Amino acid sequence: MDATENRQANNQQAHNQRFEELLTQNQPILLDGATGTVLQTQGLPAGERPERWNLTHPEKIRQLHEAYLRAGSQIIYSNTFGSSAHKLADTDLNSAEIITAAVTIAKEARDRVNPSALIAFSCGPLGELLEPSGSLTFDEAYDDFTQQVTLAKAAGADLIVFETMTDLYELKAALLAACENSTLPVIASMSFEPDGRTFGGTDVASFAALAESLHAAALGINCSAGPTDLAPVVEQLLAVSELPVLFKPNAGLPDPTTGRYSLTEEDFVRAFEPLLAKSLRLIGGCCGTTPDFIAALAELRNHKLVAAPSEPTSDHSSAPTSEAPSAPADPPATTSNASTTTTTICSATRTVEIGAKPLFVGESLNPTGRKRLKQALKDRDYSAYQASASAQEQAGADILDLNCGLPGIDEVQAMKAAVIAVQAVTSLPIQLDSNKPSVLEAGLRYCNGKPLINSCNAKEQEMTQVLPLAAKYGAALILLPIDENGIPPTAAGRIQVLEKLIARALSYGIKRSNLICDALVMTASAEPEGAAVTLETIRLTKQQLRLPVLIGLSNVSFGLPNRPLLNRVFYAQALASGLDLAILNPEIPEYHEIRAAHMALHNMDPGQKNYLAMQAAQPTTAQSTTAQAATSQPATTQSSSTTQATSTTQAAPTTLTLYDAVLRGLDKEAREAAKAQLTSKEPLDIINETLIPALDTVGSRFAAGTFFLPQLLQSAKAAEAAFAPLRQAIKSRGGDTREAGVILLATVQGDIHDIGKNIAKTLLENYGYRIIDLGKDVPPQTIVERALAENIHLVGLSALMTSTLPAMEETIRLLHEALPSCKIMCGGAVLTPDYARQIGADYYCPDAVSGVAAAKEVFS
Amino acid sequence: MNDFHVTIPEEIMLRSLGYPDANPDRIADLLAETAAPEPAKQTSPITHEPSRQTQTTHEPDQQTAAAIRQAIKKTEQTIRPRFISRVLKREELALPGEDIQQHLGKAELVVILAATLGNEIDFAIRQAQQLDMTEAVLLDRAASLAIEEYLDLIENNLRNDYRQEGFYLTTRFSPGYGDLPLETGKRLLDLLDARRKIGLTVNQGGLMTPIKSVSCIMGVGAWNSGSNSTDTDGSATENPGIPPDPCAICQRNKTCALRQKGGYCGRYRKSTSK
Repeated sequence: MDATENRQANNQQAHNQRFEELLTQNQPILLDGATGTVLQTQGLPAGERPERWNLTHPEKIRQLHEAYLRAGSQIIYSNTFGSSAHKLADTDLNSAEIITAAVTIAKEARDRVNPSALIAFSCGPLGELLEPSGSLTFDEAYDDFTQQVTLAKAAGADLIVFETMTDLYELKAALLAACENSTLPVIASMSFEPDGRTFGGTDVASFAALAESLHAAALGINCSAGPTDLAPVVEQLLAVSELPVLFKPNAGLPDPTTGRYSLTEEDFVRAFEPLLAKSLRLIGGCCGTTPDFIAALAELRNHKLVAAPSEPTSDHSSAPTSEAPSAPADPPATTSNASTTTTTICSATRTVEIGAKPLFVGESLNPTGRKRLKQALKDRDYSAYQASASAQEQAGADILDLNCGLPGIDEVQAMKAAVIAVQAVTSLPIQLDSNKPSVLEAGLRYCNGKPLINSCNAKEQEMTQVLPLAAKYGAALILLPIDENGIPPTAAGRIQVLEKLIARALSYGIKRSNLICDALVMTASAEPEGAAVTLETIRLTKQQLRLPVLIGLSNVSFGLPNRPLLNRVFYAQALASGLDLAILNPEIPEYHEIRAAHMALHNMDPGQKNYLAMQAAQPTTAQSTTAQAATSQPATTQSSSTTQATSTTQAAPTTLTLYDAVLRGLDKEAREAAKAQLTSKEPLDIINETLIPALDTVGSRFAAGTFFLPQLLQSAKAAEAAFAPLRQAIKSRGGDTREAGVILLATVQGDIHDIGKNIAKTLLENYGYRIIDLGKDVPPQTIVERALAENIHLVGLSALMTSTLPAMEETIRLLHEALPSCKIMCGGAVLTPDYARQIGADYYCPDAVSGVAAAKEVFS
Repeated sequence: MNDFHVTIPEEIMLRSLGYPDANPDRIADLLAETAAPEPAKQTSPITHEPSRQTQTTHEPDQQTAAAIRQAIKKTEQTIRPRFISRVLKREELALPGEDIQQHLGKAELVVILAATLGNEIDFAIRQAQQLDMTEAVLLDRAASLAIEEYLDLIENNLRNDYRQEGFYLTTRFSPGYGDLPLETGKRLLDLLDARRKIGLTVNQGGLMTPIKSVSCIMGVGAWNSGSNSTDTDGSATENPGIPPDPCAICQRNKTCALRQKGGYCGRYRKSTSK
């Protein structure tokens, strides 16, 4: 056993080296061409899986590999693009037999034609979208990729290629599966449309950031279109990638009737030619290409490219004999460069460069001092996190800090669920905030993109726990100048600790370009010199360490009156000292103004364009912004134009009664009217005598068909706006905002259309019910478990499709069994009153208003 | 091939939201009032007229009209429409159920087609649900109309092409219509390689993702062979592939709220009106 394992390890080592050697040759590595489209011309019937031919026509597959090898391919792809368990689910095939057979055939072909060629295990997408767009979970995707990688490794593949990927989250699952289950070199290749994004919406820079962070050996672009259409996208990738770049385009586009691709090999090679000069390191063809295309490409390469490749990959060519190929390559320290290193982090669709200009990290996804988020964590219903994330994004946050720390809950699960929930509704990169390594790891794993870790200090125990995580997941990392001796009182002392931390981080293989320093903000009331030391630390970090600097702003003013004033002044001073990132509340417009002014003054806003645009967008009386306006109308730089047009026209709200404001769906007016009423009435009386009757009127008009859905929802929003000051008043007068009842809502298993459920939720919340929202595609067992655990009296279920009604029926059956006294209301487009009764629902709710009626009855 | 420009007609949007009397010109007037530098309302306190209550025509108020217009604009800017199609011989595609056979009539060929608006609009709808349910509902509706609008463009374009070659094209028929099972959709997408070609997938429950997507089947026949098969209805003689009452096979034709109000979901709008 030991001997075979050793031999395998040696083999893999050899393959790693062989791949490294190929990368250092003077010419790009020649890959192969298409498999599927070639097999179709050889008689593969429409709808039949190309992978089946590994079993039924092994000689045809081998001959195709041999043809590519003879044409010059140095790496051939096994015929396994669709060999995942998910793709094969509705066939009689299984991954194990396909992968073993396919890799074996490829090895035979290699041994017969070119023993020094390498075999790449080709692995395509699973064919189903991951959450949140689809319903496949990250863990399910990871498991499937793990199975494939393990099988491919055992069968003797030399490399793993994830290709034709369009969903960055799926690619992340694949890359993690590869690096956790094998040491083979991995190539990550996505399919981009000529507009520079994948079907999933991922841009080139985010792809590069993620692939590099998860230790891909090379990355590239394949399929989708011909070389000419994709050339601009390839150039974008070459510009941002530190890794060798692959390009494997189609032979143009297929004809819808004949299926034939538009380019001949001459066309293809001609279109490829201008790109060959651009330091591509791996080239080949995808759909529609044949061995003839590869031969033509080989000829072009041999004639055109005798010169050495240009320098960007110099770190590969200079040290070919470097030890462990699996260790992430660390670019030579660029400390000689006078400017700050920039750090790149990303979500699935957006890359943020830290260090290029001052950025905001939204602070609000943190339960400390936020009752709704605490409740969300206890309820395991992350919609409050989602709402806050969306609000901060709309307000102009660049990054979102995410913290799930609360005593008594499972923080690991909470972080996982919160990351998944938050990234479903925001495109901003995430900063994972926890002092528990296991919680950080949950965030690192399930974050779609490359996150930022907040944080790691210089205490031995923390470094040995957090630094390996940062290295493994390739995340960016905030360094805290705190060690066993506490916080150094001087800036010079902090720099020393940071230097120690940086050295340790580098020793774990973490790239210097992934490091960010926290200058540590002290409370001014407790430490008179604290603010000055922080500013000095910012300056020294920039001058000496040349790394981006962050502060958590608001701590400075703790314990003092008029904190906003102190925060703003300190923010301006920190910017002047060189600050890059501030953790703050982005919904406060003054921060946007200060930042814009700073950038306008210091040549960071060419032509003061942004500053001028911001001033033009402000109402003339910008200086007198009230606290109310501050929360409701954050100064977005990319103002969402016309929506504001209707609401900002007049601020003469007190002329409108609360009742009418709700009926008209005017939220600002409703809030002002509610505030005005508070001077003469008890908040509870306002709710019971005005607000609820207004909502009832809206509801009955909707039921009568004189109000329509948009109006109903605008009225609901206006009522919600009015509730806010009333709840606050109840609280400050020592009362308790009692809830009218707790209702569990869910869209049933298999169904992903949940807008109807969310409409119902909006209205029910208006009436004071606390909603535990389990989301969409919820298994019956989960609903029953939660209903039992929370002792729920009313469950609302929704299903939009005929095909998911059985899941609704099953859920109702299980609920009635487990909780006979619990009532169930159902809604959804395909539901009829008869059918609802037949499957055991207590209430049939064709719309949200009837859901409120049901709730009133149950909780009366 | 994907260069159709999708626009969402405001009138259709208003009707599908249940405003049967809505008139785009009137809406334009309403919005012009809002945009006017000095709001006319300022001097007449609005409290006296309890707003929507007294409205006799079912048309949206200013705020709603503006939100509808904004939603249409945002939808048009957010979608990334694309499609893939393939022509098969009738016998190459065995389909379960009676309704599709009746729909295809004597057509000798079938066009299978899948189209999607992409993930971005799903994301936008999800995001809007966090901040403003009204916007979410309007985006959702606008996107549903946009995908049908897109398919109308493709279908009409195809029909014109076929007509010039002497063929007629039936209207589109989707899995889930009549007795054609929803699961047929997965087969269509596999045959089209839709996952790879346009990023359209089916989940384990048989639902398409991205959500705003359609798969469908159309029949193609020689103009003569089909023209004597269907009704003598005007549209039918013009094009034998178009059924006289497209709602007839819909499962919801008895309960459809839109139909009861004299509306329609838009699926067959173009084909019935032209």
